[in-house]
Amino acid sequence: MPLSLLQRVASGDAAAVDACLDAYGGLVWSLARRMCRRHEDAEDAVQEIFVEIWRKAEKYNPEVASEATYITMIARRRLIDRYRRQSRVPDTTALSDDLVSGGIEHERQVEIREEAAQARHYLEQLRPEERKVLELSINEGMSQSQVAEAMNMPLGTVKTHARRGLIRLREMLGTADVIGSKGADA
Amino acid sequence: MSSELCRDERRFLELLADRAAFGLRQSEEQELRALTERVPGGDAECMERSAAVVQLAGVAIYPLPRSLRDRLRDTGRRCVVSLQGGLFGEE
Repeated sequence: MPLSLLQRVASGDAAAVDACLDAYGGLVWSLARRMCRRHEDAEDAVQEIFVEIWRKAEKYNPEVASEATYITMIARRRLIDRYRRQSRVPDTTALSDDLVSGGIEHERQVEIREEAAQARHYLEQLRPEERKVLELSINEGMSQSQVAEAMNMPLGTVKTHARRGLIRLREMLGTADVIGSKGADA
Repeated sequence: MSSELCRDERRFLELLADRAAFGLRQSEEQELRALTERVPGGDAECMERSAAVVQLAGVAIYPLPRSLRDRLRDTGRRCVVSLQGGLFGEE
């Protein structure tokens, strides 16, 4: 079985850095620009995230998650840490498209879009209220009380929906092929 | 499996889910650390992966700006070389 990009990075293959940027640069950039008000902040965040990706490449296990999921996990954690350090709420207003002109599109990004579509398929299997709570908390960066207000629900109900939704997703990931890979969840 | 272990596992998953969705208070972080010791084979990242799937489902992919890519490429190549030399250890 050929090595994954992250496994190649971990083995010291410098060419894999380019391939990794081609494959996942757009994903990381897109996640960062969702949560950064300023273009420079998004660029700094992406640099921090990729340094962490290079460092954690050796911990990647293709039996447990796809590379896209693993990289999204690292990016999400780093972006949350950044905003906790800066003591402000993530700004999920996307940067305007004119700031990303001159970008490059790679074939591997089509694969990422397919993985995203598969992820949406999993989300669609959740109850509507579970899906909505998770979208507001995870994608929009809302606190539990903000979600409660937005959905006109008690705080405890919000937490219950979030827990059930995430546990259900974990079960789905555990019983199906991991998104984008052939391994089963460990 | 004892009922106490079942209870611990359930609470372990709840706290992991709460952390992934909203973050934890300090007391909950301490509780999670204690449970991590008690739950054998507990996968502390399982809910982070579920949250990553939610995020992946909701992201619109934009291409990486070329100038940023060039900088990342240079940094990345240096990092990979340093990693091989053991010069770029864990925090």
